[in-house]
Amino acid sequence: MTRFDPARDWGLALMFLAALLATAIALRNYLAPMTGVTGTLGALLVVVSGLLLVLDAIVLFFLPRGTLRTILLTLAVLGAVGTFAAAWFLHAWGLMAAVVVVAFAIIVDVIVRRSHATTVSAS
Amino acid sequence: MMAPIAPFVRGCSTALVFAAVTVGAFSAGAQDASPLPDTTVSEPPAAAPSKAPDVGPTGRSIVNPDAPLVPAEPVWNTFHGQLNAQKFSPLTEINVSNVGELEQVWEYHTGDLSTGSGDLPATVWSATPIFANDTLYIGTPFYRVVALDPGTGEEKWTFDSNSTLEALSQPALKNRGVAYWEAEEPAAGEICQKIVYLGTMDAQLFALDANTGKLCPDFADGGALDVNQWNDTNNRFPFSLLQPPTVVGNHVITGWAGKDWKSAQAPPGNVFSFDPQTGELQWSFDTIPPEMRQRTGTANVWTAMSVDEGLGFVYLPVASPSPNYWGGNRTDPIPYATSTTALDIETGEVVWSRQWVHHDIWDYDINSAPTLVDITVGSEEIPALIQATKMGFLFVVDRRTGEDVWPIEERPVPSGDGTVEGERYAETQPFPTKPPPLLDQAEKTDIWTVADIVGLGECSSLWKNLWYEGMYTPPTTDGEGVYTFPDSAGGVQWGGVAFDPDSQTAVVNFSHVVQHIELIPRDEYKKLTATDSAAEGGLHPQEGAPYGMALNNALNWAGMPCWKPPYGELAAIDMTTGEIKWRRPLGASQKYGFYMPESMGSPTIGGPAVTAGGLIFIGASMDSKVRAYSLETGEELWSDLVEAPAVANPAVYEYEGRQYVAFVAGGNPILKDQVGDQLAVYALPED
Repeated sequence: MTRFDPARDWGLALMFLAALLATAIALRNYLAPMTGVTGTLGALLVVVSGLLLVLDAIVLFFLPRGTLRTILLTLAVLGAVGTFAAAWFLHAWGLMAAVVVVAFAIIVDVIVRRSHATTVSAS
Repeated sequence: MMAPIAPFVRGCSTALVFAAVTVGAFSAGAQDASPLPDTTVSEPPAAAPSKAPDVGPTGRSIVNPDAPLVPAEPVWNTFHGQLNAQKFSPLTEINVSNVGELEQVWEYHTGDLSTGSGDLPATVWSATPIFANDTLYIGTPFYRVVALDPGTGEEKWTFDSNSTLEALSQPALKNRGVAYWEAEEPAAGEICQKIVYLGTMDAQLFALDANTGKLCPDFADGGALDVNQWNDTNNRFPFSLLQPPTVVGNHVITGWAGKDWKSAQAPPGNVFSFDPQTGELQWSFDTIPPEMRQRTGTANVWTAMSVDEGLGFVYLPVASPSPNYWGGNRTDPIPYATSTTALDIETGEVVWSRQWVHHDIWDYDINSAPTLVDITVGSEEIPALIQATKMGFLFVVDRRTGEDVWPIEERPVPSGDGTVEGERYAETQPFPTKPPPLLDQAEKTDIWTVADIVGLGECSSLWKNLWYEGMYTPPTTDGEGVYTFPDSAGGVQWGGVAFDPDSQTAVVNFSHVVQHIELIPRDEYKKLTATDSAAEGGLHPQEGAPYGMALNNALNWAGMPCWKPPYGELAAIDMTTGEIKWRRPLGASQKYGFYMPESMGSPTIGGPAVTAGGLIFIGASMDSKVRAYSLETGEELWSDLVEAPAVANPAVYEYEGRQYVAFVAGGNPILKDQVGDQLAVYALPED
């Protein structure tokens, strides 16, 4: 069973938390009155994309290196970029900030894992 | 008709999408209706006026000849703030240097809203609150009146007319507010010395005591006047009283709204003046010559009027006759149709009239109250009037006589292509030389490349298939019809023109919307409407005419506008020269929640208010924001989000030494499917 290794997984953990925050912000924008996008299809779309990012972070945690992991990382990047763009058009500035953190966390995860793998391999 | 505007927004995708909404037409009551024998009915002139106005009575009696055009004190006690329709407040507490600190100090929700998804029709709430009797009064689209404390929003009283909530003449439940009257010398201890008036969709005019909200027992039938009693010609729908009456001196003056695009024959337009305390009819004015009333209809006054008490004139913006896109049943002149007509307040007699569209077959209703202004052109001080129009023209005339301030030229316009049976075309139409047109109608607008790419060339193809030979190209049965820019949706709407008398600057918001009109022979129309989807295609029957018609916005499959942005603008005009000082996109378009860049602007419904603090306050945009701009530069200085598009003019008032700005956020499906019931009131923070 995969165990949480803070040194290796902190990027993923950050991605998970930031995606969760993004989803919460998106949900608030969709549900709360007078957000400017209340109840709109666009606001719902970013709720869904936020949830997919959360799900992606969870699945990535359990996946070993390999093609599937690469695909999911790529999808996460695309999802983050798309959510960021949608958030810009929705004037959802908080959501944009959260998605920037998601993107940062993905990059961190890739770098840390690569470095971690190199270290393990060298030892 | 009442501002039929083709609703925007229906499709999808990015920017704005306009859907074609049918807004109602209007019907008019008739002069020869039953209880009107002793009213004064003016006969129209024999021929359509072009340059020379119709000069009416002389030796008139004017009740209040010394009344200044601009009130000495700040007032906002009528739909457009003041009877001159300037929408101007001399208050300066809120100004360019501190407007950024503006904050919402209270809000009130009427509870009177409907999305139209249930049993009730949708609501369209465009009421400007009025400030009078140390109270803020608002009407609601459920035909109630609410009286509020202007400083706190606390309810003083409410009145429910229990009116039927059915879309009898309009596609939605609409209200544009209430009107106020007070006795010059109030009788002590008597009720109804101050009265609030509320009209309803089913033609009832209610008079309420302004202090208590109780019905005035001496007004008509226990406080309610059935205006529909005069609806006796082509009575296809009630005289809907959606626009609050114009109240001046001892007169409550009202037109009415009806239903557009449905029938060739409709109630003919008229305007009534009632006694403010008894509801007794004082005079009525008919807009259509008697011999033509059965054949046509409307040419009614469905929007606000303006008043110059010093001259004793009330100015009527008169709509177009029915049916709106074919005139074969009305080939004789109807001089007061699509006009600005000045009446004597005391008698209802015509003083002068200027027709702005001859033989109107585009539904170019004159849809806003003329703004009365004193301007200095060259060295001459001119009591003038600015008439904004759907066409995007601003006509400026001397309000005493109707004569041009800057030349208004009769220019040749395209005649028909020979496909339309029974039609007659005006050879010329009036074009103002100053101010310049707000929209460039000389040729088809540029196509928005993004929409054309998304539509795989759909926009280019549509442009190619639409006939256009410039402004006033008439409807046709050929191809995909005629290109119009603008048509019923465009140019200036009922918010009208605001005016700063100090700098002599006019302020106006307007939309850029390309539409196309196709006349459809009756047999073909019947086949088209045999399917359930017919109503979705912008089809309207014009029953009684040989043609139905289709009116649509020029959109691609995704609902994106085919024409290049901006979609709406705000402009300031120097009225001493007639030149535009600045213009800028107004607001942001929005679809599915996605905002387009503000450089693209938004179609606008509603209007501005200006203040001596150097500010313009306006909502009017799709993005449900209310904003303040610098009058001098057009720079946006402040904005806030409200519940729905603020499609009414704001109100500016002072109460207990503090300045307030009030916006009604009611929404309008012409902009987007969002309704609201919010009155949002702003002020500077207290020290």
